[in-house]
Amino acid sequence: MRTSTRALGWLAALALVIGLGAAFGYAPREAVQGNVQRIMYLHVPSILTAYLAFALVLLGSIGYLATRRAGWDRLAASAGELGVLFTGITIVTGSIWGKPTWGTWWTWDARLTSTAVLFLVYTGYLLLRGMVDEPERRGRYAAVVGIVGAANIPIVHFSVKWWRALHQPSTILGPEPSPIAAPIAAALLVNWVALTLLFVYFLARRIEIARLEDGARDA
Amino acid sequence: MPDKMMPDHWGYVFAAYGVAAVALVTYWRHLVRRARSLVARQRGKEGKAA
Repeated sequence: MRTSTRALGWLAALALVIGLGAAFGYAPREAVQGNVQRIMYLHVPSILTAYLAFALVLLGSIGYLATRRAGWDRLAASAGELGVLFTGITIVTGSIWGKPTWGTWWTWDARLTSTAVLFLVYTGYLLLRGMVDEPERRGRYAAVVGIVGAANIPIVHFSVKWWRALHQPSTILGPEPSPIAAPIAAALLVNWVALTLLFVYFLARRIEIARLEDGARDA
Repeated sequence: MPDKMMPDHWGYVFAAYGVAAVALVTYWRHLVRRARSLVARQRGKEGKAA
């Protein structure tokens, strides 16, 4: 492992500790939901990290189809795996948050349903990669799914705007100024940065593994 | 201040953070093990070739 990757790992670990401090120490108890709202500092950064991952799948897929360079395919495959991981965390933490606030673990609300579809599409993307042995064909098929699957990202994000939903509308990344109180927004930002750093660290390690796997196959 | 505030539900908060921690640590351990086995395999091949 490269020294820079190791340093990134330590930086991500430090950022996560600071993020926990911000979520449980610095951020105030929310006025209506009480302390259960602290799940937001994990739930929201998780889906934003997943968006980033799937955007990289799109980039890697387009790059691979345009150039046929294995590096683009490795980027797409690695980011896809991490996108599924972070989407899974989003769904589970959202479900745990939903039980005390909505009274149910799950409902077929537009945001929840589109997020579940996003999770299934990219799980299918990973399964497809596992089913095709020939690297060039695997990269080509996966790139098509990676590009088509990205169409679901705006559907997930804007679902709360387009359809009547139980899930609250976007309070960040929306067109209007965020109504979140400054300490809550700061804690959210710190945790977003922390999960992004962790994502970049995982991505660097996963790409390195993909390179070793390709080397082992070619040898 | 609203009239009714929800109870704290700390159990749900710790469950959410706990599940996420388990998922992330498990994935990290998977990456470490996979990288280690691939490097060992590569070194084994290089040793045989030499």
